[in-house]
Amino acid sequence: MNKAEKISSYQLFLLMAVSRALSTLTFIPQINENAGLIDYIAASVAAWLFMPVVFMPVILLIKSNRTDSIFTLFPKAGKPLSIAVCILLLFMAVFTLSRLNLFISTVFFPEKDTTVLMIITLLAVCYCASLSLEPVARAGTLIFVFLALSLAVITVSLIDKLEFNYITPVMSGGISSVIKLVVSVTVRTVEPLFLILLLPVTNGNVKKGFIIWIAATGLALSVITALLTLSLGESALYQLFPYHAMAQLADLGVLERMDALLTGVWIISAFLRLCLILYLINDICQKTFKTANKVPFTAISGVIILTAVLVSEKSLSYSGFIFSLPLRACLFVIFVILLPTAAVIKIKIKEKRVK
Amino acid sequence: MFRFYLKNIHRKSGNTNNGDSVKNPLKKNLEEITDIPENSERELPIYRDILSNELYLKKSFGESMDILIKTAEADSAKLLFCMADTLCDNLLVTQQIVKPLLENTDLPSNHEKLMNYISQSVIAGVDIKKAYSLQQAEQEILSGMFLVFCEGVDYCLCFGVQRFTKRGVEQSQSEVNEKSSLEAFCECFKDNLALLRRRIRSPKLHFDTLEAGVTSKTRICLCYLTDRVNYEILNQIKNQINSARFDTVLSSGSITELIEGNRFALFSAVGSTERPDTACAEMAEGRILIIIDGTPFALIAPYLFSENFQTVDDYNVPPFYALFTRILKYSAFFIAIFLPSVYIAVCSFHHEVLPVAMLYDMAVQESITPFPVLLETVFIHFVYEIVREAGVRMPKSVGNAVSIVGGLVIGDAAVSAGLIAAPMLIVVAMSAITSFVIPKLYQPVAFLRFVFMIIAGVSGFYGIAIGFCVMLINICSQNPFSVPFTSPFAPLFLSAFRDTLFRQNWTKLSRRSFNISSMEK
Repeated sequence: MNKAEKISSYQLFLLMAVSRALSTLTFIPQINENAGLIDYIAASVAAWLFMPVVFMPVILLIKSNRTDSIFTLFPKAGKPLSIAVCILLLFMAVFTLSRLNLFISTVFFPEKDTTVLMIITLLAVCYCASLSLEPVARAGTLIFVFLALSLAVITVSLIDKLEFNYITPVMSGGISSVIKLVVSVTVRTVEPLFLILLLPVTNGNVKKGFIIWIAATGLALSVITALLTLSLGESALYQLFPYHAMAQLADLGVLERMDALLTGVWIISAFLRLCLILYLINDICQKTFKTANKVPFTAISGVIILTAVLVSEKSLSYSGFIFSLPLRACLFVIFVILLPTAAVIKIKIKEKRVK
Repeated sequence: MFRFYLKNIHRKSGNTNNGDSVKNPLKKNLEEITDIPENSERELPIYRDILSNELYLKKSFGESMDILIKTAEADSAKLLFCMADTLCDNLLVTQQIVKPLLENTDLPSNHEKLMNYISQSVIAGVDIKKAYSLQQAEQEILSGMFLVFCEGVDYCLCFGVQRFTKRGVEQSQSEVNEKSSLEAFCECFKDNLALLRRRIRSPKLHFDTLEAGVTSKTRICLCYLTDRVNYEILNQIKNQINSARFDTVLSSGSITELIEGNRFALFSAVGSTERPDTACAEMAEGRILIIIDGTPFALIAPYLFSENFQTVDDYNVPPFYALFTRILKYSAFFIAIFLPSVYIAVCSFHHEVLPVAMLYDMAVQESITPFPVLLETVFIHFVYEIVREAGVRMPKSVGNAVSIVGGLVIGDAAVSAGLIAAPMLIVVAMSAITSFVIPKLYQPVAFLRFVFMIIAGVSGFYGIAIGFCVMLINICSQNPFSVPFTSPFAPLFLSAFRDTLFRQNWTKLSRRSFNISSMEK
């Protein structure tokens, strides 16, 4: 299952782009925030400019040209670290599946229990994750094309529905609300963690690809947020899934339900992200515990994820905990900033010792 | 004619063929011959004694009526002739081999020299070879060769005199094209190779012959261009075929599954074609062609998913029309699989997708049918598959009856009786017709259509999306012979895009040749 296969850098970054697009499109605004909708655009642009600084440790890690797993850098802490990363990945999977569950139970099946659908989804995800990384990466490449096309079609169809009257002064609620939004946007970008874990199996110019990915992601995020603001106005803040509401506005002549186009792509994007996460969990566990495919970690992870999602569905306080920003910000800082920073420092120390 | 000639020879030499065990010593000694080895590993050398060879062959072939075994004398030299009557040209044997041999009075007395003389001077023919073991002799007989044994010589001469009833080169049944050659492969091994050789007149075109099937010993030919083929893939296929333990190989299906490797693949990673022009084009791109004796289809390895949507006609029409037809085929693929399931999803779960007027009409139509939409759709598609299968299997003389029964009785009457809704007929017709646009993919499309219908009936658009993901990842997971099946889409190979969705004009296409090895991982 964990074949020594490599993927190319563009496959990895397209997969990351699909994952990031999913985070954007299934974004649920926090009603308590004082920020106006225009502040979201400002925050998207600011986050875009802020990301290269935040992800500098990752860029430095890429520059070190390591071909081994990051866990081998910490001989004593490698095992606990890998377990911690697996727990983080499980958390991300629970978050993704919960959000997907919320989406389909509100948009597709408002009167139907979605438990069976979640079980079917996870069974399918477990099967696809067991096929190794390369098929998931190739599927991501193809899905990105559909995603980009669907976004392009919706953008074109929304052009005549944009209202520039919705533009309000930036930072009307204070700079702190904008800073909070910048942090919120940034901590949702957890895809560099995938990059850190998949660096040893990626071919090509990863550094250049990552910089292009940051630039393109930020630009796309800003444009989509601007579209959202100018098409829905303040009412976007009161939608459960504002980007879906924006897609519902789009129509091209006789083609009215353009949101159906995007919805399918969103579901597939969530599916791919879950496949990638389960693959990573299985890969890390296989290497950490050296079981050589004897223990079905994919299946075990699937059961854990399903249980957590079903519990969170029933318990509001638990789901509030999963979706809370402070928790996600902490995890982001630890695993996306501190972990690569520690790895870079360790590499530099090793290099100095060798010299 | 040959039988008559040999009978006269026996009368001359005093041998009779009445099987009398007292007068004929052959039968008496038949039981003394050693058992014929079951496995081919223990090969018996050809005896210098003609009688022993004769006894062995008679025991081996069990007095089969089409195997002719006769002894003769040519200028005091004892000879044994053996052939399969149903596989050889009797006239050729008599006129070109037996007659010149037996009428020649100037044969060398030394047996070895005699055999050399026979092969080089007496008989005019190019297809001559020697067999040194009795098992090899058996195989040559069963390959339509005429064998000549000589007393005192431990080998036999084999002459190629094959002639047997076979079907000629006809039009392709499964790959119909408008502007291309009408020739198709046939069951005869050599005729198929001739069709290839005529089209690629290059010394680099090689044919490697293998055998498969313990009992059938079916000939399999690997055809390739030596300057373009990937020898690793070639050796891999050879090893797979040589290590196969089939009892009989009578069609291409067993070889396809053998070399494909992935049992759970939805789409086959080994292509097949009935057309020699397509086969030559594939070889020119570095692929290996596998021709199986008795099968009018050639297998192609490695094969890409996108090639299912390409036809020879694409290269005989303007590029813009080729682009149009390929877009048509890709669209037909998705319509064939997803149209019934989308219909079920819309009718069962997502009514809001339809415009109000259409929704009202469909609701009225569906309201009069007694069955749920899922059941109705599965039922009518199942009936369609029955009618289609009947149309394929039944004799042509009653084909019209099937059309009438299928179209009028089942279709129209079912709607009139209120069993199915009229839109359902349109859905079935559309999905059926679109599945024939890409005939190579009919089997997986038909299967997936049913799978997606059930998925849509259970979980609507969501299920269709999830099912599509699984199907996509299953296709992406195939790497036949280290070549990604979804190339050149994923991974992306821009150089191959010149002939995937669209086709560049011939001026550009001919500038740089494409080789499948460039897509290897």
